[in-house]
Formats: sequence, C-alpha cells, structure tokens
Amino acid sequence: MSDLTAVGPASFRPIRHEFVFTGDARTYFAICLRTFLLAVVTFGIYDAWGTVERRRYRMGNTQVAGHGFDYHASPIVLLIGRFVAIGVIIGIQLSVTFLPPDILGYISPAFSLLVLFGMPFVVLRSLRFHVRNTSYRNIRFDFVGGYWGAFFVTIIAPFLVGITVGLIFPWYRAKYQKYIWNNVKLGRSGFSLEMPMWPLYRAFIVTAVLGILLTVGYFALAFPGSFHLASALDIGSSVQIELLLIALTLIYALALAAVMFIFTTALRNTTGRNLKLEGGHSFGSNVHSMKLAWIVLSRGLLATVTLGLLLPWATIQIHRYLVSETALLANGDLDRFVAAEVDPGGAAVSEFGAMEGIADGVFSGI
Amino acid sequence: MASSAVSDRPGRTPHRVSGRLFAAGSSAFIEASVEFGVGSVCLIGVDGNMGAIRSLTEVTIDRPVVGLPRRLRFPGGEVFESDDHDKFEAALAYAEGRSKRKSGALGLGPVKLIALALLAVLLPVGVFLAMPYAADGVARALPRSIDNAIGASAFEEMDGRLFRASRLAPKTKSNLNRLFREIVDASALDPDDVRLRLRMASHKGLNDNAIALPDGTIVLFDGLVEIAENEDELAGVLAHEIGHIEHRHSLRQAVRAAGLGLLVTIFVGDSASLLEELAAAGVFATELSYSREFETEADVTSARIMRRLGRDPEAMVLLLRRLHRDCNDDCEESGFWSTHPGLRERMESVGAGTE
Repeated sequence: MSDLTAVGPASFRPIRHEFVFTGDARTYFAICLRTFLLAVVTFGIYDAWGTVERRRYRMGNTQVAGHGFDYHASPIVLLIGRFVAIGVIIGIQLSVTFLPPDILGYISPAFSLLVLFGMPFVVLRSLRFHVRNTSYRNIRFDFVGGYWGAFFVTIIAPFLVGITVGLIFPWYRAKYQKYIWNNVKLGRSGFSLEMPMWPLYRAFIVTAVLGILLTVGYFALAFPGSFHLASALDIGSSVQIELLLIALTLIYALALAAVMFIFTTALRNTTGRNLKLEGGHSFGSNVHSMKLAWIVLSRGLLATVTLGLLLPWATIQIHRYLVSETALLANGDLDRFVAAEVDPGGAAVSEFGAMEGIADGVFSGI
Repeated sequence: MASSAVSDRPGRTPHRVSGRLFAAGSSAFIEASVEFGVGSVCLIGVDGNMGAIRSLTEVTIDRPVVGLPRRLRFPGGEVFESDDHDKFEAALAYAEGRSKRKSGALGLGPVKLIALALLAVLLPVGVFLAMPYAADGVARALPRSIDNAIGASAFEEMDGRLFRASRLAPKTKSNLNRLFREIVDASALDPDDVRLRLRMASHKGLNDNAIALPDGTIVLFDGLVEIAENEDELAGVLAHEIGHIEHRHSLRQAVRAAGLGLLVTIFVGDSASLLEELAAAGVFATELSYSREFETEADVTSARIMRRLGRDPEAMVLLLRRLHRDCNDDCEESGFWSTHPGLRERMESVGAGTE
C-alpha cells in the first residue's frame, strides 16, 4: 500500500505536500567537477552524459510527497543534436566566408525566413523533449502543444509586444505560461492554467515605476553629481571620479536587476497558484521577490568572479529556494495517475523523441 | 540460467534488496524486494512469493546517480526502485560477476581524479599548440581556387567606395607595373595559377600602406610611393605582399580562426560569463600572434625574392622606419596587441639568410 494512505482515507480536503530539495551542493559540485573533467578530455563528447547526470541529480532530489522526479533523456540523442548544431554553425561560417556577396544576397533572406518559421518548431520540439523525458512516480509527463501555438507565443506575441512599446508584456508572459501548462500532461491527466491578469499588471507597474525612478536617479547622480561630489569631497583626480562612477553604475545595475525580480516572481507565483492538475490537484507558490533576487544576484556574482567554480553551488542554492517555496495540494492520494501508454520499459526509454533531442541540441548549441 | 543462486531461506539472503514496485504505467506502488543471482534477478513480494526469474539481459538498470534511488525496469513495464544504494550495488556486482564495485561515492577515486584533472589541463594546452599546424594542413589541402573565392571581387567591392583613384603619374604607374612583374617572376608562385595583379589607389586613412587580397590582388597606396626614396624600398614592400599570397595567409588565418573558435566552443562552452570574456580576449591575442607569425613569414619571403633579384632586402624596413619615425622606440618592439612584429625584429627577419 502507498505510504500516503497512512495520512488518512481519501477525503475532499486537499493534503498539502511541500516540495523539498534533498540534494546538497557538495555532491553536486563533485558531479559537476567529474563530468566537466571527463568532458574536457573527451573534447566535449562526455558532456552529453554529464548534462543528463546533472539534470537527473537535480530532478531526482526535487521531491514532493516522498518521491523525486526522474529524467530519461538519452545522452546519445543529445550528442547527435550537438553535432548537428556544430555542423550548422560551421556551415553558416563557411558560407559567409566563401560565398560571393551576390549569392549571399539571395541566401540570407531565405535563411531569415527559415529562422523565423523554424524557431517555433525548434522551441516546441525542445520543450517536448524535456517534458516527455521527465517522470514522476513512474508516470511520464507529456507535451501536446502544436506548432501554431508555439508560433504565436514565440513570434507573433513578441512582435505585438514590440509595437505596443512593451505595454502588453504581462499579457504575453501569461500567454506563454498558458501555452506551456495547458499542454502538459502527467500520463493521462492534463494540467490546466488560467492566469488572472491583475497580479501580473500590478507587479509590472511596480517594476516599471521603480525601474524608471532608479534610472532617473542614476543619471541625475552620475553625470552632474559626479563632478559636484568630487569637488565637495575635494577629490580632483579623474581616477577617483571614475571609480565613483563605476561604483554607482554597479549599484544601479544590481538594483535594476533586483527590481526585475518583482515581475518574474509574480509570474512564477501566479502560475503556481492557478495551476491545476486533473483529479482535483492544485499547487502553491510563495516565492518572495527580494529574497530570490538576493539569492540569485549574490550567488551569481560569486559564481562569476570565481570563473564558474562556484556555479554548481549557486545553481543548487537557487534551485533549493525555489523548490522550498512550492507546494502540491493533493486531492487524496497520488496512486491514481496512469501512463498515457504503458511504458514497455527498458529499450523504449531512449526511443522517446530522438528528433526532439536533436532539436534541443541544436537549440542549446546556437 | 542460475536459478539455484536465488534463495528465499530466511537469514541467508545476502543479495536481496528491498524497495518498492510500481505496476506498469501506474503511479501506485507496493513494497517488494528483488533477489539477485548470478546473471539473474527475481522479484519477491512482501508476502515472500517469488516472481519469474529474469536474466539480467532482459531488465534495464538505470545509470546510478549519487544519492538517488536505484531503478530496475522489468520487460513488462514494472519498475522496482530501492533507496538502499550500497546493498543494491553489492548485489548487482555479484549478479554481474564483478568482484568490485564500479565506482566510489563520487564516481572516481582520488588517484584517478587527479590523473583526470592533469589530463584535462594538458590535453587542451597540447591541442591549442598543435591546432595551427593542423589548420595549416587543412589549408594546404584546399585548392588555390578557394583563395580566389574568399577574396573574389573584394577589390571591385572596395574600389570607388573606399578607395579613390590613384593620383600617381602614368610613368610612375608603368614603372611600378614593370617592377611588379619582375617580382612575380622571381617568386615561387605560378603566375598562371593565381590571378596576380597590381592595383594602385589612394585612401584617406590607409594611404601609407599596401595590402594583399587573397585572390592575388595587391593594392599599393599612393602615400607609400610618395615617401619611398628608391625603387628597392617599394620592391621590398611588393615582395612582402607577394609573400602573403604565396603562403596563402588569408586562408590560413581563416582556417586557424575557425579551429580556435571550435576549441573555445569545446573547452569553454557555456560557462560563467567572465570566463567567456577571458576566452574572447585570449582568442583575440592568439589571432594577433598568428598575424605576427604570418608577417614574419612574408618578410622572409620578401628578403628571398629581393636577394634573388640582387636588390637590398633591408630597404623595406628602412622605408617603414621612415614611415614610423614619429613613434620612436615603440615601433621597434613587438607588442602583445600588435598585428605586426616590431621593426627591430623585422630587420632581423629580412637580414637572416644573408651569406
């Protein structure tokens, strides 16, 4: 019997299961170090295996209701995708170098069209690859989104954002989240997402106002201020003024980046709080924007100045926080999910979406 | 095949691992165990009932990840998972007939890890040092027509837009054309193989210069002709540019740059942004070092041609010294960020080989 039946008989009161991250940064660092070294000595080939192992560690340790997620992508498929991507890059470079300008003149518009209509396809296939290769409690997730939906959210919607000078940006982000989640399924059970717009617009307005205030403040201080300040402090040398300006710019950039988290956090929480899973399950998300900003910016800064040495640690710290603020509100036990197709096990695992994996490789390669 | 290895006698089950079993295609699970035999595995229910004995070749065992449940997939779609890593690994080693575990907690022992780290430093360095030779080999294997393709119509593209018409007297022009033919004939180039041609032009910023385009076009700017004090100085410059064509420097630079880009992609990849910045600076500095190497090669070729014609190989450097008389000692030494070697070094290059 499931361990969950111990909680109580199936009732209609949701049972709250917090998501937890059970891994630790030290182990993850060791995995990253070993896979990185093996990737270097194999000219990057092993990185396909490393990528899968790292993702499996992160997902397997992301647990809810006592079970982790699993990731089943085949490294060989990722590898082929990367080779295709390198081939494409070399092909583009060679044609730019060797083709006469008049022929290039014909090719580049055709190439632009190919990118325009091919991009949604690659995004869609890449997304589907990751989703289909993820499982929870022996049930695979599935992604059933179509091409034109992807075309709308990757090409048309961003274009509309552009011509409305960004005013419909929250609508666009909501549309994107809805495209993803309304097409994700856990086995035969579909996810569904309705996004209320007010929380997103409220966060968007706050972000925009604070961003503008910061920018105005920065320019008001940085340009005339730096000279006044210099004379007031009686530091005439240009080096000191430059240092002052650099410090000011750094503070401005960090503050602006922190402000951006107000919107991204609102998007994440709104998505999490409104997401439903067939069977009466829902979710909770309670990320605090400034706490997230602090974790991401401080850890990111440390990872950067250590030339990526602390990147595994930073990744785990950020992931752990996000996971810890997520919850599943389960309607009864979680025994009733059924796979869309019964996975015949073994060999079929790696046959899932070879094309998708190649698309993913191309996408991440470029 | 090895069914005798499976034992359900209590207390004597060293290769039994407990865990949970998911039914095929279901999120529901029950407690269960598996018992490994040599080359085989068997499911055992919580009531002690044994399932069918499966050969290890029939089941799939997921690659282990530190700290995560071990998973074993049966051909019918059932999935067994166990949190008892040590016992699972020991039982599996027994089933596969291995005396030792495949890996430690972190996958590698300290000795292997240090060896790997050492190799991970030495290999990229070695590849980096060997790459120019490999790239030059690739370039040599490519037909001469590729060189033409790179720079085809490059001069026509720039002429009239970037370059203005030369203001040299017709007599000077015909003298220069005669000098050019003399140098081409003394070079190692097959005049039929490459479309060698001399073009004279003037240009605001580039006027004290001469350039070689990959298709065999050499552009000589008016300023250089005006500052020259004798024919040997210009002959040396033209021979230097012929050297660039002879050694296919445009193509080799392109292939080396591509190789460098590939190496950076492979070894730096998508890491932290600061490392990428450093790599970009490194690529730039390396490409400049290739440029200086090619300039020296062209200088040596220039000197060889000049000597064959009985002309002064050092005249070109004297012309360059006059050109750069304002920059004093700065132009004498090679810099880390310079495209050409310093003049002192170039004087040594053209002087080398004098009997």
